[in-house]
Amino acid sequence: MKVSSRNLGFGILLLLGLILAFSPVDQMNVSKVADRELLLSQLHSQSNYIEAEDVAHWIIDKEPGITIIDIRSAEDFKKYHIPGAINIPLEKLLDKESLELMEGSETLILASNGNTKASQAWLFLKEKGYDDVYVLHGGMNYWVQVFSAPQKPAEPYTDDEIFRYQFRLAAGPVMMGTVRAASNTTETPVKPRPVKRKRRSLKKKVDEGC
Amino acid sequence: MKEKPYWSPYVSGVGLGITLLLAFVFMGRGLGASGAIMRFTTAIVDLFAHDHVMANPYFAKYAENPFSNWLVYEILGVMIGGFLSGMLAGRNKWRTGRGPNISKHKRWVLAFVGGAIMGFGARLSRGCTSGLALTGGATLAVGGWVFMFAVFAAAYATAYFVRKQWI
Amino acid sequence: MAPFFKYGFFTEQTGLIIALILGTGFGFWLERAGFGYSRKLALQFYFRDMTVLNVMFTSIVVAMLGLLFFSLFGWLDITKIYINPTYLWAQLIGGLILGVGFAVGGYCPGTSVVGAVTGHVDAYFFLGGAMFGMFVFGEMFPSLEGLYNWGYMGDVRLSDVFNLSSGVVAFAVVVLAILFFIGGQWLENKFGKEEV
Repeated sequence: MKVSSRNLGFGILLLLGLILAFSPVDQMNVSKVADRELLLSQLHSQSNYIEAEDVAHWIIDKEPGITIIDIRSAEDFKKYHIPGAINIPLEKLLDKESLELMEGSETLILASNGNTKASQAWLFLKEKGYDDVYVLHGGMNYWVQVFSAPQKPAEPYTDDEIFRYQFRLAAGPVMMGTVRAASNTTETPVKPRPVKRKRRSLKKKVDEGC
Repeated sequence: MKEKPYWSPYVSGVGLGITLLLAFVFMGRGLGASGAIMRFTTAIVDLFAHDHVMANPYFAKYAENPFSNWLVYEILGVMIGGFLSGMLAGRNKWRTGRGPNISKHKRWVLAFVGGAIMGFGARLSRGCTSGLALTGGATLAVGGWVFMFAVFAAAYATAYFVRKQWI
Repeated sequence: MAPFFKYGFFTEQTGLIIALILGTGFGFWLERAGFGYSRKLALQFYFRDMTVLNVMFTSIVVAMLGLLFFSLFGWLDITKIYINPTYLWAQLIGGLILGVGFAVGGYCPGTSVVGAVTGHVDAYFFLGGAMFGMFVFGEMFPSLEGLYNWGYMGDVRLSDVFNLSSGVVAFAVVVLAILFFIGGQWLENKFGKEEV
């Protein structure tokens, strides 16, 4: 009996399907090495950093879906923390309660004193499968410095520099907790964002829809 | 040049399937079409009514850098590939696809109407046959399969009412 | 390790060039199958030309098997592949609407582009209509937002819903496809295949 090429094709497809049906396709644990390389390249290119101003903007705009995680000790957290941040010391980061705290949020921002501990935490969470994780660039040290005593840019300054300085000046009291963020008696209103400034947008994911 | 016959659907299907697979392998995404058309639409409306576009949350998404997008480049490729294939087969000539019982002009009107309905449906589904049915089908996305069956069901049901146009 | 773009093998700009190349392949095969011709597409719905069904399911099966086998061999990380999010009711209703548009218009967005570049005048009218329809959707969006998001289930796949391995689902899809191919052939014979 001569087999037509079409039936042969069907047979091959069925065979391939059968093979798949009996193979552990879903259990294929992707090589950890490949993922690590990707993470390292992200670390290297500093694409895991988020700038202090962007975070401040989001706090003021009350942008939803963001959780700021302060991974310093509880004492440091009590002395001062970013408005709205939650405290999960680094050792407790992968505890069940901590993971529950991070569940609902889309974007996680990690803050430590500088960059190192937060980058460690970043690696942990990335490997755990959290996609939208960032490290606050410069950490709390830079944050406090920038918002309690912003430096006026040296002349001649660009538009960008002066706007940034003015924003820091205005947002400083809010960020440092001397004025409640929700208050409407802001004597120094935050300057409206200039159209030219390209701000890091939430979820820099490439639009993959159709 | 005499028109060459179309290739077997199975051969074309394999060709298309491999193209789709290459998209997954290289980009981690599939193909699409309606998104690109949406961007062209938004860009045109943007020319006339920029503030209106920015005020509408749906349009505003597409108004920023509408053409710097994967789908737009892909659809340009579709134009090139389609033209190339047609040229090689001698099928590139002006005509209107229609059945024997309808005039050219009536067909044009129905094409526009059908297009409008389809455009609306495509945006509601967040995709069309290429982006949702084909791509979603291959990745076994539930939405893709549900969508595909719905399209076929509705098309078969509607076919009777427009049969004068085609047969 | 595939998908290459997500492992940083090339930049987003290069990705756009790749889009162009892949699109060329896409358009080429669509035209090869005859999808630039609205009547050929429409005859599917009169059981006289099963090309649409055959091409669609062949390409889905090929790509699906490719994805799963590459994943099995460890060549591709399937978790990095974009899965279309499911908005069950929105996509069901949208699909019904799209089906109506398909039967009336004779095209779908991708094929209308192919039709247009090969000289089919009705394709231009279809495209104009599609743009209009999308514009109308955008205009009506505020009131449609509820419908648009109705039935969000996340990036769910058939294997999740039926609690089967994707290999088993793949096999089922292959069987379904072959049944459609054979059934389609029978219908074509019954209703009279038209050579367009």
